[in-house]
Amino acid sequence: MLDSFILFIKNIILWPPVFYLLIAPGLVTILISLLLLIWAERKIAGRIQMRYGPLEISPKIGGAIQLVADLTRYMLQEIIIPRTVDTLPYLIAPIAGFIISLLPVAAIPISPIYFPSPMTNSIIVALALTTLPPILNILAAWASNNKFSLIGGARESFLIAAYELIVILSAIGAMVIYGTSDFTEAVSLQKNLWGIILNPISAIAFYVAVLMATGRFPFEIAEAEAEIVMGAYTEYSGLLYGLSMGISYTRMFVYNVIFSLLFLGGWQPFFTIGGHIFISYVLIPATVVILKALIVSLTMVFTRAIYGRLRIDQALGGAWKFWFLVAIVGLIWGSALTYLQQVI
Amino acid sequence: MGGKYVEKVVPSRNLSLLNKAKNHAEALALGAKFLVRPLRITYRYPIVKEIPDQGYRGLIVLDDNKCIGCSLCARICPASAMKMFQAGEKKLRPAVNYERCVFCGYCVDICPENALKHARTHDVVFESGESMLYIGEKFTLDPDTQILSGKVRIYRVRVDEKRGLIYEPIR
Ligand code: SF4
Ligand code: SF4
Repeated sequence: MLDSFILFIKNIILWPPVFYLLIAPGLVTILISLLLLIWAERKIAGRIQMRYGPLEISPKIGGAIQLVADLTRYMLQEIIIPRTVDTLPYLIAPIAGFIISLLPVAAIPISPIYFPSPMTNSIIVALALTTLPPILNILAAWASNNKFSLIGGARESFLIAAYELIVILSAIGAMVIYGTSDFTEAVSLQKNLWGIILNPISAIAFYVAVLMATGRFPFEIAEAEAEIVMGAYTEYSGLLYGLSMGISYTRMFVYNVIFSLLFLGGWQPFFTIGGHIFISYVLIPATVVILKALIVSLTMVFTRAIYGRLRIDQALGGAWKFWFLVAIVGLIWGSALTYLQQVI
Repeated sequence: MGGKYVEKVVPSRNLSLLNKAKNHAEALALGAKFLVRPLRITYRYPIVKEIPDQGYRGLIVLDDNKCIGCSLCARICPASAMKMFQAGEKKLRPAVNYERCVFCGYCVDICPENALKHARTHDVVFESGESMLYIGEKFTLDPDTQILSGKVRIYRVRVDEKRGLIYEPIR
């Protein structure tokens, strides 16, 4: 009886959709990497700005569990709902935003044979799903009924128009080379040569567009703390505020998983340990992908300490007049490579 | 007299793409340098203490044996923080109220017997108004001895040409 129950639970957890959304690279992994990334961001900024960063909670390990303390505080804090907000969309926006920013995971495989849903165009589906969360951001801005929120939402909607195209064009620049829109196949084609070497132009454009999409410096325009308090999330408090802070980090992590699959060779170098199917086909590739995504994310949080914040017109001008062209050049470069390969 | 109109537009620097890329690379390299070898100018306050140089105007300490009860300190005090109190038969002793004291140091300067001195620390927290009055025995305790014992690391601040302030451990 008990044995069959444990087997049942194990089967449910190892069922790919559940495993992907809950464990890796889903909720559990993302929460852990969130703790790590936010701590690293504060620590890096501290070191570069000639101070210590978080330290007081656990001096022995450099304040690494500071975020746990912060989370506890958010959970115990009262959630104040202002009288003038549209209550239902106001409550839905951060919660749905957090969940939806996790959703692309449903189309991102992190192992060659164990994927969440078998599909042949997973890159397109994943990219389509990453475009959803900003809508919730704008919804939060609209529902908050506050001018700072509204300005933040307006800035976010300007930025979406700028970065979304660059993300998709540079992803297509990689897809053209692999000749497939399936992550599994794209990764297996990168066995010897990673995408970042084949098409560095698209990789750089993708990287910058992700910086812009997830509000990292110097594109932290939609939540510019010194100008518009917290952008669209000005009116939030308590756990809802914690969730809304997590959205941009979750999006960054998901984008970086996509980045490492498209350009950094995914789970390559791939090796197996004989006799351990679960370890060699799920655990090792997942660890490799997540480590790559974490390293890319760390370089992204590193920019906070170095750049100032651009004005919205500077960011939009840079995106449309420069990075858009770079993405198109990357696309042309990818097509040319494919053409040359076919001719020769 | 009308003011003069000043064009407050900074001309664009018009850097070439190569120059921009170079500037970005320089900024990133500088950040990486600081990340690997941080030059911290802050210190961990409650664990590490900074001890100021001689002449720092900290809390005031009375040497009861030297004081002759002349009341000059109470008279000079610009904030009326120093007051004389009866301490036994025909004996006057000063007491200080830190609610009023502005740490000007006049009382220390004027004392003919050098009975007052500044401690080299400022770090006190008061829980109530009464505890801010230092009278009798309490006024004669040197707060430095309490702070310099205990498990703190003592730092001294030094001005460096390259970095600004530096905190150097002296114990
Ligand atoms: S330091 Fe100045 S204000 Fe304080 S007790 Fe002495 S004379 Fe008065
Ligand atoms: S001036 Fe000096 S000697 Fe005179 S009462 Fe004050 S502490 Fe005592």
